[in-house]
Amino acid sequence: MSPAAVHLVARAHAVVAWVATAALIVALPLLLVARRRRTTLAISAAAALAITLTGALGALLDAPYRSRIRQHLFGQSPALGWLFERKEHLAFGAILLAWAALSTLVAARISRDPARVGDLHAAARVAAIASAGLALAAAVMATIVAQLARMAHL
Amino acid sequence: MSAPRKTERILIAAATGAATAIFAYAVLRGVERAFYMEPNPALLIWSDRSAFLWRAQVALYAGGLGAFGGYALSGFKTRVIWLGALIATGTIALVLEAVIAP
Repeated sequence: MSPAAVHLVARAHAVVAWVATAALIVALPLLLVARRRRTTLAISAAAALAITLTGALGALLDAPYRSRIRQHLFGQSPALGWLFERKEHLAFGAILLAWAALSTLVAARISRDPARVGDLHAAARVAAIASAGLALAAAVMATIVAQLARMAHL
Repeated sequence: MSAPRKTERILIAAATGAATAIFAYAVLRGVERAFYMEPNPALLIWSDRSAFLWRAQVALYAGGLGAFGGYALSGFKTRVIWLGALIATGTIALVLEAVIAP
């Protein structure tokens, strides 16, 4: 991948990541208050798709990161390097938790048993809160690393 | 309590798989850091394989196995309180791993 293409993909990755994080956060109050509403389901689905797209763009950037950035990042500041590694772990969790929230939400919608609906809603809430929290932490960490690395001309 | 529909069981299995994959990822990284020496990232010029992508693939495989367990568990005419607990456990394990053993 050419440096210009890497730059373009990195920009798109950052923008989609913040959009996905915003969608996950917007879905939270709807999920905590409303029950069986189509809007909640639509926003959750959009958030899950957006965060998966973010992950796919991130996977595209993995090879250029390893070959061009990682060594310089750790050489400049190991703390900054480890912050970026931490962000990768949290992002992986955020993607899977977004899908877990969506699937439990859909399961609760189609379930016929009131007790099971309650349990599934509780699980969806836990997954959505965790996904939004991890996505926000990952987005903030990535922004910090990007800003500090830019200052150091990496 | 009524028996769950097949679609409902598949969705519960998917959520179980996701939570299992997150837990497996955290355990894998913890084991890597605890038992295997890693080269200093500041000195490593190039690595042929991505440790992160490899770990993610293995974790997703483990999640796939967990999904079968979730499908089996959801077949019982019982409540699914365990699903929320499993998701919370996976999340806590991942956060601890990211803080202690990045």
